[in-house]
Amino acid sequence: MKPENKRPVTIEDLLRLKRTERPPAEFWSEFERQLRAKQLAALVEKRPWWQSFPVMLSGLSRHRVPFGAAAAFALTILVVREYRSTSVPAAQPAEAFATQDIVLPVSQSVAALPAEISLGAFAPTAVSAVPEIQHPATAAFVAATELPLNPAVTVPASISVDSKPPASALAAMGTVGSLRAPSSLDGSNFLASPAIFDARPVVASVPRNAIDPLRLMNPPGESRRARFLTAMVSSASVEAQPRTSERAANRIAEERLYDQVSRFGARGDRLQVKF
Amino acid sequence: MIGASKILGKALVASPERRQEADADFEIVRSVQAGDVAAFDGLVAKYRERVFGIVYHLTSNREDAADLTQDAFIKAFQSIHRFGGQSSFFTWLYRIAVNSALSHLRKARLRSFFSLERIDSEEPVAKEIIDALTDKCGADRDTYVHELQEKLNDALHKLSTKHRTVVTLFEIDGLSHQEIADVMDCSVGTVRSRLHYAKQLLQSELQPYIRR
Repeated sequence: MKPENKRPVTIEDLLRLKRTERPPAEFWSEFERQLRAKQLAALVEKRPWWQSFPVMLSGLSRHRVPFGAAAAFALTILVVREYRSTSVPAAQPAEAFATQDIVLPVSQSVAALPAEISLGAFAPTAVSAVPEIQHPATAAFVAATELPLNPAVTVPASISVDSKPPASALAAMGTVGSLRAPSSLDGSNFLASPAIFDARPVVASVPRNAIDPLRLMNPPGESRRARFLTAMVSSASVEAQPRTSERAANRIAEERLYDQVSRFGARGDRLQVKF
Repeated sequence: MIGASKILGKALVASPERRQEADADFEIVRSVQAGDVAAFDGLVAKYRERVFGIVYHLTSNREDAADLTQDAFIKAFQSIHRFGGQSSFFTWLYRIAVNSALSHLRKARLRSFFSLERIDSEEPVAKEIIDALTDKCGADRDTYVHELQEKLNDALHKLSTKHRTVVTLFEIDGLSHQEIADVMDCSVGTVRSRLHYAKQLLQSELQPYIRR
């Protein structure tokens, strides 16, 4: 048979040839045996505990609607409760005030300061009148660190706890962090002093409805005017663009002209051309 | 109890024969899920050659294909309780096998070697095509067929794995576009476009063997 009489062969025909690539029959018996062994191994093999999660979750998937509804309900209740608790501020108990300033750090660096530095200038709020502080821990700490400080040095009478500087000011001086010796006062004494509460600045509670809501609103005329002004400004800027570019183009032309003029120079009987 | 046909309504099974086949498979799957482990052997016997075929044409290696086919059946067996009939068992099994093969190809990209099966040149379809391509006979014919097989394999391996998978599933395994889309988890349009591109490339590679 001549090749001219043969039928055309397409790419599909060539790919169909691949279908006939088959393993021999004995291959399947070996395949069967190996598969059986693997199957048995898979049955015997203990699966890791985390692989049982999808199974448990698939069991729970039947109850997903009630679970979802319950979760949504619980979340709603939580949100509502949270909202209520934040909207009504809880009254602060007296203990909270008492514990706020009980620990009063007195640093040796403060003691080392010259007596004329009155720390009272730093403290706008007077706490209480404690005559002097000579804490044993302070002396021990200084002895341990072998600083050239005299342990007998005490806070002068002019420096008292009532003139305690704010922590930020001491931190700014850079000495508080390194040489602080905390000295706490007795909480009961502290509470016993009525001056604490007298001296504490009272934050005046401003009612929320003090601001007239009508003042927060812009009158409609103003907003309209603002819109018009915005539109005018934007249109003006659009118009200004070509003018600016025109001006820039003119300037370039002028520069080129000056450049050309400066290149050609005629002086006396000479013609000068610069390149 | 919800019928298998009703569950498989979502599955895009092309012909009524395929639907019947899918229903029968689903019944076997249900019995395996109920504890009849031996019933799974029926599914293995039914699909092993087809699954081996797809994996073999993707890897072009008999040993790898055998291992991957066995692994696909083991994975299917281990997770058969999760099969809920959203697709046909055949599509599900194919997806497992194709994903295993693609994963293997990604890992063994640099150390792949081919061990090809012989083309049965006496089979009617193969004989007709080979007759149309050559007048040779005897040893010359066998050499020519082997050379053609290697060229074909090389051309297929010049395609990306996605394009090769589409060509293999469509032209060699005879799956429909929709079935390929289900197996590869992509749209029918993507399947068509990949098929078109892959055929163009194969055509240019195998130009000497195409007779118009």
